[in-house]
Amino acid sequence: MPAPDTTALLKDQRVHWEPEQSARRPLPMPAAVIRAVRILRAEHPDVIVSAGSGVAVGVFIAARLVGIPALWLETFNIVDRPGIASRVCGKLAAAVLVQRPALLASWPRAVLLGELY
Amino acid sequence: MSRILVTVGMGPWPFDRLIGAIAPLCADHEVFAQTGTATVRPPCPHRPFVSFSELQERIDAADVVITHAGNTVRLVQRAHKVPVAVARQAGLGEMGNDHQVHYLRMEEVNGPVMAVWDVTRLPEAIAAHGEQQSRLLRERPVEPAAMPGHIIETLDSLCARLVRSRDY
Repeated sequence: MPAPDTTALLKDQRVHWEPEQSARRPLPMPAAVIRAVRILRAEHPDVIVSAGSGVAVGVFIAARLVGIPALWLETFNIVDRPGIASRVCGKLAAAVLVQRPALLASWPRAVLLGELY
Repeated sequence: MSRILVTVGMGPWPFDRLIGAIAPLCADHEVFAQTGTATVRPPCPHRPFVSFSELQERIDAADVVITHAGNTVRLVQRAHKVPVAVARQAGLGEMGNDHQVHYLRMEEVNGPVMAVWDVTRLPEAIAAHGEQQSRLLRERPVEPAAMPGHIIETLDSLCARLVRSRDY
């Protein structure tokens, strides 16, 4: 959903706004996946990059269905067990971008990007 | 009197515990609060959300930044300031999980941050901030951020390999 910081940063981009999803309320997820498949087929990106959180789950499932590689960016302040969205998207991702060397061992396809902030 | 910025991030979870606890500070300091989806209103200038550029300007202008233990902690540290951080707790309905608690426990040992676990002690933290900031900035340097060129090169190389090989 649009937040002012996101809206400002994306003002020159074409954007499809989607509601946030939660593992606590999984019922809307199938519809979110269907919407994501439609968007990916319309936009046909080469690669998807996301830092989540819950809204990314439907998109990453859709990306698998459509055959588009997805990159999961692990949030900077995850230092322990990742949340559900991170675990699901990390498994579906072609690679996981991490910001700390210590997290390289946490994912089978981790790539060290360094600190973004 | 200090210029204090309070920020709770742009997410959907309300952080009433922190916003409710800043009232004593508003009487003694110049406070602006970015309140997110909080249901309580502090007795100081406040707005639910601000743009990223405005947030950065307000961080630069503030003497002290009080923040939830999100990525803003690093943003404040990059401005050569020591944030006063309060972790959102899943058990209090402030987040879906406790990753802010785990992060702040680690950061308060290694990083330039003042962790506050009991929000009634925020005034004490603000009173001690000047002295603590000088010490923590001196003793705990922050790792540099990734260079833009490195980020672009890494992503370009990774994306090219994935698109070329279809191995994913």
